[in-house]
Amino acid sequence: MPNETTKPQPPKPVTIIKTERQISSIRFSPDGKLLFAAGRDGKIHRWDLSQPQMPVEESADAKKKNSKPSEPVFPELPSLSGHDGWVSQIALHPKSPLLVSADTWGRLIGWSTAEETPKPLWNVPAAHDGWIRQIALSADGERLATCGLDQAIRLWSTADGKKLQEIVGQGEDVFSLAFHPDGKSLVAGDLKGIVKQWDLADGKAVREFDAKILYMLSFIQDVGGVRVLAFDIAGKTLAVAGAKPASGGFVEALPLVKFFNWSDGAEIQTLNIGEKTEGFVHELTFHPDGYWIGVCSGQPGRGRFFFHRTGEPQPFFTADKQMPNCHSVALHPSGERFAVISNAGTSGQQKSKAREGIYPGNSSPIHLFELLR
Amino acid sequence: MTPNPLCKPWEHRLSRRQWLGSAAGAAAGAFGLGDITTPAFAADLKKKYKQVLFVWLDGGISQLESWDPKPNTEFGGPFRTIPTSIPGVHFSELLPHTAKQMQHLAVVRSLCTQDDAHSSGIERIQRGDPKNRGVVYPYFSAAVTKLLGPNDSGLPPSVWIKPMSGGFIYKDAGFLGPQYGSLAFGDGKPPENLLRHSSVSDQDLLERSQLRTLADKRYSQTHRAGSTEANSFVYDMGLELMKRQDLFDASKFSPRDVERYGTHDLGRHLLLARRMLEAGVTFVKVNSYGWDSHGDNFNGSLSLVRKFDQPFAAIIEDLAASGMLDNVLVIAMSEFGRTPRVNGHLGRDHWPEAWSLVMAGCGVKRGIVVGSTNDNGTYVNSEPYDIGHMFHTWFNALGINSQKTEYNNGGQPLPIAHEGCHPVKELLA
Repeated sequence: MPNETTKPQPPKPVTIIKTERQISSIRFSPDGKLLFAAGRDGKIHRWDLSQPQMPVEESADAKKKNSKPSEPVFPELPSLSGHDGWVSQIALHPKSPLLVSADTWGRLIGWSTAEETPKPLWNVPAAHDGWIRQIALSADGERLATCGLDQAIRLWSTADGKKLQEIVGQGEDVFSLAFHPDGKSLVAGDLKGIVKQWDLADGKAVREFDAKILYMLSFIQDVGGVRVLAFDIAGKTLAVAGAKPASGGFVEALPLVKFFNWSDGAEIQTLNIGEKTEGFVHELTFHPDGYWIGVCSGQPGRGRFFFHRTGEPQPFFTADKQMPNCHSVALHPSGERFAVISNAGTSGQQKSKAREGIYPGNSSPIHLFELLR
Repeated sequence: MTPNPLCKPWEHRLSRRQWLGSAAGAAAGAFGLGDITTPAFAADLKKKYKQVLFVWLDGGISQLESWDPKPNTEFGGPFRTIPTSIPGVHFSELLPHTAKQMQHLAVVRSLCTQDDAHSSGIERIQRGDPKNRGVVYPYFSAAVTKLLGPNDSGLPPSVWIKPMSGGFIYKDAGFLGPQYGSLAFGDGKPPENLLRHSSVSDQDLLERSQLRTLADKRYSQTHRAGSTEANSFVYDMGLELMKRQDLFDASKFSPRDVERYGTHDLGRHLLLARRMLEAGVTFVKVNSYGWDSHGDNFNGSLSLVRKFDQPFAAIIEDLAASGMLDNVLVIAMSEFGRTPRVNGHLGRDHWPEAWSLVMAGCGVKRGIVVGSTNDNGTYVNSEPYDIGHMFHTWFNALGINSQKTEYNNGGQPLPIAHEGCHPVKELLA
């Protein structure tokens, strides 16, 4: 495996998986054979990556006209139902055949992925009062942490969905959380830009990290929040991300990540990415080669993905063309591929033909890339 | 109460003299109501004058995150619905307090209006979008103060409580003339320098006022009456407000009310609005800005709608408890709704084709929902109502026959609401 100074070549597009509706989040299965997506249609969508199908052979004339090589097509498997509102988050157990999903109405489901069609192993209808913002699995996969609009942080057994612990006192609208890789601590971030470290042994807050730059009050609108918390693999660096908001309404916001040294809490770096039209950093994932892959999304048509190594002044790679509205990134277990969801469709308020049944919604194409190491 | 059908609204012009007369409570309103209506109407008005609270959510509240939720549909968004105090009627979960007041409310879910731009849409909605006759129509605030005439509160007939700057907003009055403008309390504060300087005695003030009156009189002999009247009107309002500075004293609100309404701008401003209504202001407009949620609509709605919900429910509850709701027409709305489609920034864009408003109080049926949209909220599937229908309805709720009453703009008769529209009878008590 390349060492931590390796900088990858620009990623190579593999294919684009089209979706009918918008997606919140994507994840690969631990064996890398399946791709899961949390749908804003209340369903969990799945694609089989193990059996790519090449398009039907093109005619010689068509090949001449279209110099681009054919892209593989990954078959979509039947979707999973059982949620309401939006499926907000999904997570896959690192060792066991378990998928956990959460929705915006407060339901939490554990699915067995051992079968071809996953079945619920356990189902907690009111895990939270409303929108579950984030879920995180401990490194050993035994515990699941959730947070939500109800200001609660809860820990659950992944084996049976039983509640193990409740953490009280984070603050208003807990947006994000992450387990420290050592499993002893949890960090959580809220609307007002407060990040707290919680000791899981006694449920007490240990310290705070200041990310208030991620929040503003615009008239009466609370704008921003700690949208992302993530650790590097060794647990030495904590990334706290969102945006520095400039206004409510349209929500202009400059994508921003703050990096902290976990051992002493000192800030390592504040990284601004792009422009204030590019909105929030929605997700960060740490590559084993020692860099972050992040996605951001702002005003319609704006957004990008980027690669950044902590401490360097700027991301060492950003998508050469802006990718519209990137909301989630997932790293393939091999470290050789990653997937990003963007947005396709239309915005605006032009007169519709809704009465004739013509009123298309937007969708979230999934862009699959290969990392050339 | 039925207005005298022979009454012509151009007889209602609010002169400075009339306003001062009413402000002083002169002879039980002899000047204040003077030639406006029949004596019976005047007597009734004195007992129970009509008032309006107009809550303007500037930029466009999402109907799907408020009055017309479509849970578990393509464009329904992430939120749940909750039952209201009226069985079978549900709101978005972001309106828990207002849901408990549904028995006082009338919700219109079938608005279909013409303009999807803020710059023109705000004016078209607040002026009632009448047919173009080459004149600038008054905002609803000016229309109401004109058509209802002065009362005996001694306060400005129309005030506007808003964030940011204040001042006298004469442009709202359109062809009615600047005296029908609104006095805006920027950030809910009284006009600057309202306090009389300590070096100015009562006698000084009286003499200064007399001198100004004399100057006004001379000026008006050679200039158009309307502008001098408006100028005097503002001075006179200032004088009256100087006597009522208590209205702005936040320390006189009970801690419980402060908590119930909330300490954010909209909470503070709606609490001040209640006080203004209690003091007798005819038309109170409260603005909240920042509702144009093209981006991050769902997180935006979480704070915007919830911060509207708490004080709006509180003022409805309070007006109902005090009996004032019988005489105060309450309206909460925007210039349009928001698209069912969710854009890439997780925002909703402008949508005049199928949206909602809520009203309550004077002359309005309570606990009803009028109109509907299709299953995923993309169009109105009942009779669509334009803003002209709402103007007709509101005027009639206030006891003004909108189809028989006309303005007289210097001899030009003008309908007070779009003549292609009509009152929505379902909404009227």
